[in-house]
Amino acid sequence: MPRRTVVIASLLAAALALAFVPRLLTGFRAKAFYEGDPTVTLALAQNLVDFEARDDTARRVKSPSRFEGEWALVTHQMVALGLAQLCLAHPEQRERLLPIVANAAQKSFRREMRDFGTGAWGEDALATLGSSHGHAYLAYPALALGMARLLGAPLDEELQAQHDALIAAYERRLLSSPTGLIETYPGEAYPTDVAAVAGAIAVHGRATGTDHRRVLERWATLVRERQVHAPSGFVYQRMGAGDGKPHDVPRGSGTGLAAYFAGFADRALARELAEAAFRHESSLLGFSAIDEYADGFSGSGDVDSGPVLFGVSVAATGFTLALARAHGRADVYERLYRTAEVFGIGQRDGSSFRFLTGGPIGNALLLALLTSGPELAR
Amino acid sequence: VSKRARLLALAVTLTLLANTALTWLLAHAEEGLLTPETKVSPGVLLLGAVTLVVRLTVLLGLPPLFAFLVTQTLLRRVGDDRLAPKPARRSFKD
Repeated sequence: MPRRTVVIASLLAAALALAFVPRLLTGFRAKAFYEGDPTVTLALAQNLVDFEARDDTARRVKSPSRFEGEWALVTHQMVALGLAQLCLAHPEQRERLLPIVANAAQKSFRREMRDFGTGAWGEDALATLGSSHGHAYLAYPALALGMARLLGAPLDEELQAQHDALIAAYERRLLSSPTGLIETYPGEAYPTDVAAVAGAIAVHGRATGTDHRRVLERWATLVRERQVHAPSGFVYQRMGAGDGKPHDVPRGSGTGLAAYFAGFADRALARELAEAAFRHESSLLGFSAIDEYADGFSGSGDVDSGPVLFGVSVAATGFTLALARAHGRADVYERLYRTAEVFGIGQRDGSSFRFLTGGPIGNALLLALLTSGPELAR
Repeated sequence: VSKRARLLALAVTLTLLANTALTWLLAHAEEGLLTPETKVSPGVLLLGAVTLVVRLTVLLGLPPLFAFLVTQTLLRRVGDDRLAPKPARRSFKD
């Protein structure tokens, strides 16, 4: 056989192997996660259950390395949301997981977790509920606490009263905002954080029977009118709460997380934002990721997006996993999951599963995102 | 077996071993990540980056390499068989 034919045939075989083998090796868990197979979802949950137990121990002994601040707040919130979603999907797990949902949600509400916001405003959010200052970051634990209440977790009455008062303050602030935005930090509003506010208000309504429809409908209208960049469908990452002027460009990371939070409040709006994220998918060899910047915009990575490589970001890709599952896009989910599996280094260890590069916050986020769906508003 | 083939086999074996060892190290290093704000230490970040590079090599490099080498070997063998002198037929007279 001529040498040239041998080389061409061998190169063809190599190309075929490259096209099919990596996707087969990394995609086998994607279907299980998408279908909510408890052998994988509960294994990932177990890793976070163990994390919360270790964190409780560190807190009891007042370890100098105990986990506090913004990342801790998000970690405990996402553990609570992820486990709550699993309780809704697998009611037989509720008895075992609900106490951990309640514990994680309460921890995310602790004063030391919001010190970063207190420092930025020079006041504690819960001590100034009558003010017009937004303090939208506190919607993250408020949403987690709402999910715990929705599932009937036995929570401290004082905490429930604080939660009710915070939601009432958010409702009042949102109704008086001409842009549908309230500030996270002085002079800065993030549509993503305000989507968390809307989610928290909606879940509070589902848990307590309070009617919040007026504020939620108004918020959804203003998101479409003022916060979405029409050509791309992405929301602006940062804006002025009073004048609605963009302080940053439309981005995938903010849109992805906003769509996840919007799902708790308004399924139609969440789907519109999700479709925008799906339109910004870049794929190769069965792997895909989501663009951080809309067409015509560019920039580098930051604390919101994580690293941006070849125009796609870690955060936008992770958040879109939730949207793909919640809105029935198995194809997108599978491609995105392969990327998460490779870069996250998914590894099973006995009855537990985790992503080795994720750390507690990465695994907590992925638990909530990979199991998204049961929390969606009707 | 040629020297080139032995070197290639050694490189592949070392890559697979490195992948296993680095993944094991990363799995155990992460136990120490519960620092305030979960800031990951530079050492663990470096370990994660090296592990990712090796993992990508294993995942994206080895399958096409194997496919290329196996196809090439098989086709050459088929070609060699065809070109090899066939035993002479015995004539009826023999």
